[in-house]
Amino acid sequence: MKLAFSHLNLKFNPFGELNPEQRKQLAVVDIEKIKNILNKPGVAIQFLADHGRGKTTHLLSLHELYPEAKYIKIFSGDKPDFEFHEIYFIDSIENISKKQRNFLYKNSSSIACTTHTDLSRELNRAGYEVVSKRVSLYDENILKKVFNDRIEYSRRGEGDIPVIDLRLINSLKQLYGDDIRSMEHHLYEKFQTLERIDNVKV
Amino acid sequence: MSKCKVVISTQKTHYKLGDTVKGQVSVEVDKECKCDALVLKKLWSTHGKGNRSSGGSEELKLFQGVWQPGTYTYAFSFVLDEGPYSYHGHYINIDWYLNARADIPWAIDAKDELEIILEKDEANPVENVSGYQLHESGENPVSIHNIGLLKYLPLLFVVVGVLLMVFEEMPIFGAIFAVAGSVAFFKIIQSSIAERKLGDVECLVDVANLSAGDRVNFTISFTPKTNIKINSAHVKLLGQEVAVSGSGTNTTTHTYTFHDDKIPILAQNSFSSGIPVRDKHILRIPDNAAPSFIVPDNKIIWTVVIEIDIPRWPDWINSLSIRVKP
Repeated sequence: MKLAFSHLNLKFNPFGELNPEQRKQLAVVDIEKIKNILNKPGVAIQFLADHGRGKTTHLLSLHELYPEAKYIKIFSGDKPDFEFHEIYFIDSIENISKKQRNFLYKNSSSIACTTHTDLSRELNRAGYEVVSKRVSLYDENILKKVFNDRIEYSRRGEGDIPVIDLRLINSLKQLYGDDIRSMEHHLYEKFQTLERIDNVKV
Repeated sequence: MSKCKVVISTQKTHYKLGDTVKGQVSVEVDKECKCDALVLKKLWSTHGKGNRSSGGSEELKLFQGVWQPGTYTYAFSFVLDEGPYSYHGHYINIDWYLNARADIPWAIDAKDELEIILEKDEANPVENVSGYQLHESGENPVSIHNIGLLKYLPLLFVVVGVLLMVFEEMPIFGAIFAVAGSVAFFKIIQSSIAERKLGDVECLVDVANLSAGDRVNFTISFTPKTNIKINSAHVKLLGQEVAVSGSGTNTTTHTYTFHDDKIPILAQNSFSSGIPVRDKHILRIPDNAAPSFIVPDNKIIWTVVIEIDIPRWPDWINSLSIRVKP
């Protein structure tokens, strides 16, 4: 048995599942303009997008800048008990009922959250100044960086490793739009069958 | 700030169960440097499509104190006395790692990781390999049919779904629960409906102590309640990797079938009421079969599936997981 992916000079399939720490480490996000505004009371930041666009990655990266803030990942059916915290980070806020959300709004000064649906009206009514950021990595060069960073992260040793070029990124965009998770799934299958170090093709 | 570099080296990369991994951790520092702990850890971890699982962790503390500028080496040895064996599949991979970390106060920890392969010794196979976290299979053949009241379990999902829709303002989630519960309930009772024609079907699978290359005895018997024709009947031995990625509503289950051996059963296709039917077959577990492996989010499973296709009537379908020992 050979060491895994040694024929590609990699340690593992770069498009397999990463743990949250690794995702934070590899996040390519644009949060420069919003990175300080949560320190101001009464601000709500919502990261808006469909599944698989990178909302959680954005929220995790922002949370890196506020390590003291409470971070909660909400699963369907969860009924978290929201004690008062200055800043709450809520992943998948739509998984709690409107009644619970109102309770959350009363118990926090500022909020950052991910959501599929625009909650600005509701947040405004609760007294927040709302900053909405639609998450979409549609820029070819950013996507190229995101994917090549993941390949680099799985590097085994010195020397060449497979590379993703702009032609491949454009083909993936034609197939999947801005759905990064589907692109990653496609690339996972590609790397399972890749026989040698080369530019990756669709 | 001082610069600290940690490198692990071993004599070889491939080991058998019971082997000792010998090596050294080299530390290079360019200025005086305090180290709260230099720890070497051995562990296995999965990688691939599922959330990462790990286990078998064992730690050695190699150093604590202050390094002056220079290079230091610390010898270590670990005995590889438990599984799982290294495995490289499609959605699931299992590998063993040596992980060294120097905990340096007020600085980023210096670390290194080295991957090793734990292989089965085909010439001298080990009888009982620990580390697979599987429950023991029984000694007696197992009947596939008998699930008793468990068949009503999916109705609980239907009830929960309805409650979520009515009382918790969660119509979409509630509807998904209710529909999934209804489909699962039908899947479970469809064999019971099929038995209105077939009579009670009993399948016996000899599950005790199965390993790669072994034969699995399989027997099916029933006494039809009516004269009945069938389109086809077969038994399958499936080997699958089941990897779960994400969590909560973002959970995705990825299934990859790496072995699918289908054998036709019941040579005839029409049966008379009241005449007992009995058929025996042997399934063969391939010589290179991956052992069963079950940890949260990553499973390598072996299943015997029996299907009887009845024209214009629900099919009789049932399955049983079997344990393939390492």
